[in-house]
Amino acid sequence: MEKAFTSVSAFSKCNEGRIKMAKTVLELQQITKSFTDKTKQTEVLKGIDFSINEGEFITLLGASGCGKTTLLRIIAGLESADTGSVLLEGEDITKKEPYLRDVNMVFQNYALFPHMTVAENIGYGLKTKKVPKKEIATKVQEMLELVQLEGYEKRMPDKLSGGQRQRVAIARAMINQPKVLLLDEPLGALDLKLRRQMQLELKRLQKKLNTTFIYITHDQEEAINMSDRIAVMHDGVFEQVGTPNEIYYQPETSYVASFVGNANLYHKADAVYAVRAESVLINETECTLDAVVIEKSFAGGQLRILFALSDGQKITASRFGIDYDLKVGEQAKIGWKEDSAVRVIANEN
Amino acid sequence: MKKNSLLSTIYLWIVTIILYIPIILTVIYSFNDNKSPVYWTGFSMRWYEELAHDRSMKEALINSLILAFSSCGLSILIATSAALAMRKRESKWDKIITYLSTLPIMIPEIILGMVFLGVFSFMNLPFGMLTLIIAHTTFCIPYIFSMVKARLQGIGTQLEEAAYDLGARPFRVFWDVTLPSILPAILSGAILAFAMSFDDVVISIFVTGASTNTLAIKIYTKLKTGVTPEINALATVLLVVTIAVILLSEITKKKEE
Repeated sequence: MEKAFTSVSAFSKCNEGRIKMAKTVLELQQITKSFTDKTKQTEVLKGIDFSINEGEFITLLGASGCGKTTLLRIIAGLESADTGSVLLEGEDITKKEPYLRDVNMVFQNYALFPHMTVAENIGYGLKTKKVPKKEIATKVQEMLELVQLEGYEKRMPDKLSGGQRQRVAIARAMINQPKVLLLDEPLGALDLKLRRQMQLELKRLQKKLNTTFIYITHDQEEAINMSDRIAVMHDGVFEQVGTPNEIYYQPETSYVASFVGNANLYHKADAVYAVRAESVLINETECTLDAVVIEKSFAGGQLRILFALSDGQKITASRFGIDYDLKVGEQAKIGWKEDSAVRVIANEN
Repeated sequence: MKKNSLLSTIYLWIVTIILYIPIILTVIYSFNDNKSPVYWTGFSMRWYEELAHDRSMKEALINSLILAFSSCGLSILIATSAALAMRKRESKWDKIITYLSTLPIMIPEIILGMVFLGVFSFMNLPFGMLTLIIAHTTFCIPYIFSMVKARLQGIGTQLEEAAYDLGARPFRVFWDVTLPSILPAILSGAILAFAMSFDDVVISIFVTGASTNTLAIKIYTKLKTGVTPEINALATVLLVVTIAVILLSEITKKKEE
């Protein structure tokens, strides 16, 4: 009896979670891609295997040049993979033309059609599918409401602010109810405040429509804020795929540790440990390492204190507030609790 | 500093006056009641009336318009498709082709005229409207080609990709997105080409037949028998048309920006 009860509660727990049913919507199998320049051949994607569940918010996180945009373009059909296949709801769409794929993309610089009004832009995807005009008008109105742009239908894109253009671009893609929505750094051109606001709005929209999102960014805060799962990309491979928690607290490689939240990499013997700056303790009982303060700086609401250990390694500790009771040049003991150091595979250059 | 700016102002005025006095005089004397280009005897529209009744002039004007419109139309087709085709492919020849295709602007007209004459004689083409159109199309293409090519480079491919992504098939993408994007460039190139064709004398003289006169040729040949005020009147009309066309081109360019 008790057992049955547990399984029911486990089921309902799963149901209220973000992933309603783990139905695979998109599957990437062994995707590779190289670009040939005059002088050399660059391998941009080195065998990507990945599957995405319906309604998931997936972020591809990586520095520029890691191949994330290429991967997105391959899913959209704007680029073709050298090898491997793309499956959309089980159907192989690797060779399908972009205009026949049930995925849509929000481009980095919005790519709104400058000679069309807001309404014409948003309705374009339906127009190409020969949806009756009346129906288009109704749906456009719904989308405008959804992205809070009522009354803007007759405006031209160049008469809109960056944030408004962004909303039009999102509405234009979403109106087609794609199986997967691809977003290529959609907030990259906005200022910080607007970006934060749009992050929340996008997340709200995604939940409301239960659309699968594949989101590209190089901003780890954005990734952590919005995603169900994050795939950290580096040099054409997925370094680690996991929930924001896993990526942040259990990085598998030193690259992930340092890229997501700038963790300290502490080398001891042959091993490398990732220690987050906020986990570094100063002058407490656990502290066993001799260190000298070499720099203090204030950024993002936090004071970052840079220590040099006696063997030359540098460790950053962060504290809330704008100053700390240690001067540059002063000696201190630092350390961390054992469980806040995560052993990682060293692959940072 | 102030003196300097005063000097440069005076200099600019002198240049402008020197440039425009002949034009202004031509316009003024087109309204002169006297046949002489020296004495002013009163305002009159008689030369315009005479011009309007001159049948050979009318014929020449119609020829000029047919020629300018058809060579412009042909160049739009050829130049635009060439620019579009070159965008799709990346080849080391592209630079050379681009350079070669803009060359007709730089080659002296007299040489072009001789070349056309040679080619058309070799091909045994009857000299007349056909040869005129071929020749004019050739020198009109570079104007449109270079403008459209620059515009295509400017717009990039993202808009078209967005259209593909939204379900538009290739022809639809061209019609809905590519063409509207390059239309201002096509138009301003075509207007320039039109003006070039309309006032061309040198090349036209080489390739026209005995019975086909364009307006520009007509004026040139009339000069041999002495300048009549009728020519002044015609020049004024052409001037107005040309300025209007160029203004139109500038306006479309502005709109494009």
